[in-house]
Amino acid sequence: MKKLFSKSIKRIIEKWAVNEWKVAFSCLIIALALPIVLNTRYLLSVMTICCVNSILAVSLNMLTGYLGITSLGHAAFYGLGAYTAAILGTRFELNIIVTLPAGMIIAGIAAFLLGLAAIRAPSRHLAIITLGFCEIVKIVELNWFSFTGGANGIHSVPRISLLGWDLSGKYAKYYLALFLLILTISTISLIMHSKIGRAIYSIRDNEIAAESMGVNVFSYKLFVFTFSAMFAGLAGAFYAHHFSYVSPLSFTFEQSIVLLSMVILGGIGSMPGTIIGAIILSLLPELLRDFTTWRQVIYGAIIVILMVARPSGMLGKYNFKHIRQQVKYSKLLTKNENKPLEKMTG
Amino acid sequence: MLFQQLINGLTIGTAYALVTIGFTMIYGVLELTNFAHSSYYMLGAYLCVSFMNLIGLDVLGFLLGTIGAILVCGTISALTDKLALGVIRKRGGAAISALLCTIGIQTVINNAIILGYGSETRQFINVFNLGRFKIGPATVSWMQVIIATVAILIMLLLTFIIRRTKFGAGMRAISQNQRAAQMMGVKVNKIIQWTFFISASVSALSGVLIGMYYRTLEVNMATVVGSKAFAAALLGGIGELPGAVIGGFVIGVLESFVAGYVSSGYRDAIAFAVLIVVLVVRPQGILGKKIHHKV
Amino acid sequence: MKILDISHLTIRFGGLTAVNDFDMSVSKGEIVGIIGPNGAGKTTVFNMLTGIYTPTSGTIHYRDILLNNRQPHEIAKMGICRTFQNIRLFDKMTVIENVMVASHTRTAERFINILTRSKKMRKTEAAVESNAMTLLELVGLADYRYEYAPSLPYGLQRKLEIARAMAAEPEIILLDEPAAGMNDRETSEMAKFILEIRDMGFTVVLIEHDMRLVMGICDRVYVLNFGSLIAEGCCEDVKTNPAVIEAYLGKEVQLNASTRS
Ligand SMILES: Nc1ncnc2c1ncn2[C@@H]1O[C@H](COP(=O)(O)OP(=O)(O)OP(=O)(O)O)[C@@H](O)[C@H]1O
Ligand SMILES: [Mg+2]
Repeated sequence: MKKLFSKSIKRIIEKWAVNEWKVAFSCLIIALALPIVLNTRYLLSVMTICCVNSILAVSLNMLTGYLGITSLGHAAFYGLGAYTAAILGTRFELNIIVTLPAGMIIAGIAAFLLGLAAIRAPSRHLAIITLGFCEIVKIVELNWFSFTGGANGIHSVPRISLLGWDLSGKYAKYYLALFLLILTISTISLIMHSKIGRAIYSIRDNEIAAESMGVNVFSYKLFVFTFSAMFAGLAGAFYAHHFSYVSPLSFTFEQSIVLLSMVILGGIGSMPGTIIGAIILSLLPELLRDFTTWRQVIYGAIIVILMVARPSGMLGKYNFKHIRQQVKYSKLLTKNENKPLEKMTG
Repeated sequence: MLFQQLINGLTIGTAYALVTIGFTMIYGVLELTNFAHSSYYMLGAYLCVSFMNLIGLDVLGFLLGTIGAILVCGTISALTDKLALGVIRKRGGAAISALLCTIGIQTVINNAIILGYGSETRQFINVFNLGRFKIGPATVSWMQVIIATVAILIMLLLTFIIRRTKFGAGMRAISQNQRAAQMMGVKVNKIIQWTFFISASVSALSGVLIGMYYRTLEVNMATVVGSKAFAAALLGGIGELPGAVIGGFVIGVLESFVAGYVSSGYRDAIAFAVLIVVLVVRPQGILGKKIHHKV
Repeated sequence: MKILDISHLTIRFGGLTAVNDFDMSVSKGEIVGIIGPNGAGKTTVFNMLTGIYTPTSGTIHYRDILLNNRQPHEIAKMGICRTFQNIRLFDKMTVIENVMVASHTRTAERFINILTRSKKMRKTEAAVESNAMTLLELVGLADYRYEYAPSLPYGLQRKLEIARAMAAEPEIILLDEPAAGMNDRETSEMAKFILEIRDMGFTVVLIEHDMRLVMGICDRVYVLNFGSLIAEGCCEDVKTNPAVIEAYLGKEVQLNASTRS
């Protein structure tokens, strides 16, 4: 029974891997069509949050899953993006055309400077260094009252509008978030499917060998660290406009942990896994809303149970690209069974 | 003023040091960052108060309550390893999966405490009431002396266990090479579970002591101490017991000086900034040995 | 023509002098062997050559460029690439990807081409892949191209290491015990293969314990013992050198047969 189960799982995964594009496209269609069915303000807002969290998780996955650096401070960059957008929006009444890129850039600069100093440190130190950075950013947000509003946060960030259009309706916000998510996914996927991606994986697998094969480990680490922070900044900037309110409490170390949980739960290093993880952990608090008192306990217990049941996350063991190649190759082999070897390899 | 800050800093530092010791023990054996560790600090304090309410609000009640809290926390901790972390290890899960699992455990414990006790600040009655004395310009309470003494005793005891006993030899063997240790007949899982037991007990004990020192229990006491212990461990040189103590003191003193002379709002920020600088400049920590990785 | 020149190379780890006042030079198209008992410092020489360790003193010149303080990736790009004695493959990547990684320095791609997946970029990728395929065929790993590296048997992992180093298109290729753990037949295949590599235009520096392999294919050999050079020259001279025989104390009989560790 158990064997049958794991076999059918394997077949499903194989099918999924072979048809990854079709599956992704269908998901996109569903995501586009979903607001027709789920059209209340609450549900749309939940879906928007799913998109924002997915952007954060996908960008963190680039750092943690692909490069192998555990960051406990992703929320800091999220917060930097949010505060940048909120400050630019409230003080200078700037539009998202400016605030979104500005959020990315500020988060990117912060990550670049931090990385320049620290990215060479061993990975367990990076975990605490990023944690410390996250705390520092939070404390500055809390205490620099004149600039950040301290614990009160910043209110009435301008609504989203673009070229004179008002995009602050529930539908528009959802579609904008979805667009940003697709932008993030495709940029990161394109990078990971290039020589840069190969270099990044090689660093994760064996730093010394990668360096000896000509991969500039330091620059790549710095690049990925900065790049992933930029997308966190983007998510943050959108968040500020979406809720039109930012507060230091949304960007704490605990939030970083939630983001990391999304990545690990879905399957570290797997893009679809990460998105599934992000969606589950965004929905879970909503689903547990009726159990307010028990919510956090159940939440923690679910994480423990899932980790024990599947230590490598839901999709962490599967590399779709490799599965595709293997399936294609085994087909090729069966087709050429009677032909000489060189034909097959040629 | 300066001297008083130093003494206050050392007291907070002792709390950090005690929590850090257990934390660094588990790290030393498994290279696992145990986020649940600081939860036992909080749970221990709360349990002790509950037991005292049952037994009596006197010295005996406190002692029995402390023992009870230590046993319960140690058992829970050992059970988490038996039922969850050990299973992940056996299935070859990545280090980061175990880490997330400890985060889950932490979430459960911390929130179960809120559920069971409510989120208001609770009182922890100091049953000793020993008063205080003066050293020069600074006031020192006997409670501070007790805390320091217990911390030193525990550190000596743990150092003895790790350096001199068969159990400690097993721990060191596992930390070097788990598979080899297993093949040499070391009871790996048992030793790891006992390590979890001991580390959580020490954490619970420090929670009891510090709770009594401040006379209050708060539901955020775990998170406040957790990241500091983490920082102290790395600062001192992770996996080293004396390092844990020094790291705890450094962070505690630094914090109280910043709070006293700079600004209490930026207290933690500066502590973390110093930590980051130390880690970047001296990656092995204050006491850690520099290792030249063989290629 | 001398392309690699090492002089007075020394490295200390704490109190241990792992390599002491070592001199070596390599000319284009040679196969040079480094031999010596376990712990003699052979691998350490490679580690300094490739920038993983920084020498305590002495110099390494490659085509008149001082390598002492260069980063490993710079040295790889300049044209020195290696294999590892304790195999270091990329474990979660397939065999072919392992090889493709090493083409890294040989292709340049503008970021915009990657983001647009331009035709030019796809063409380069295809070239990198087919180059990797050629190398895999050369070492006989073509059929395993989509397997994960750790699933290969030990001997094939060593071959993959060599293919990967070749993909970096170095001028000098450093092989650290390529025949370790191989049987006699495999070892003589490896000997033939190393000669082939040389004929393809690579210059080879080889660390090996198997004397038959070393004596069979090397143009010159350097003998290290406790970090110091005790003999150098053509195989015949080295074989009869009393210091060398002494270093392999009591093993002189085996110098002609195969000694393996
Ligand atoms: N990073 C390091 N730190 C300390 N000692 C080292 C380091 N690297 C090498 N050594 C020491 O230097 C000496 C030479 O080691 P090396 O690996 O170069 O020997 P080798 O000649 O390659 O031996 P083998 O034939 O066993 O591979 C050994 O004593 C080794 O322990
Ligand atoms: Mg060697």
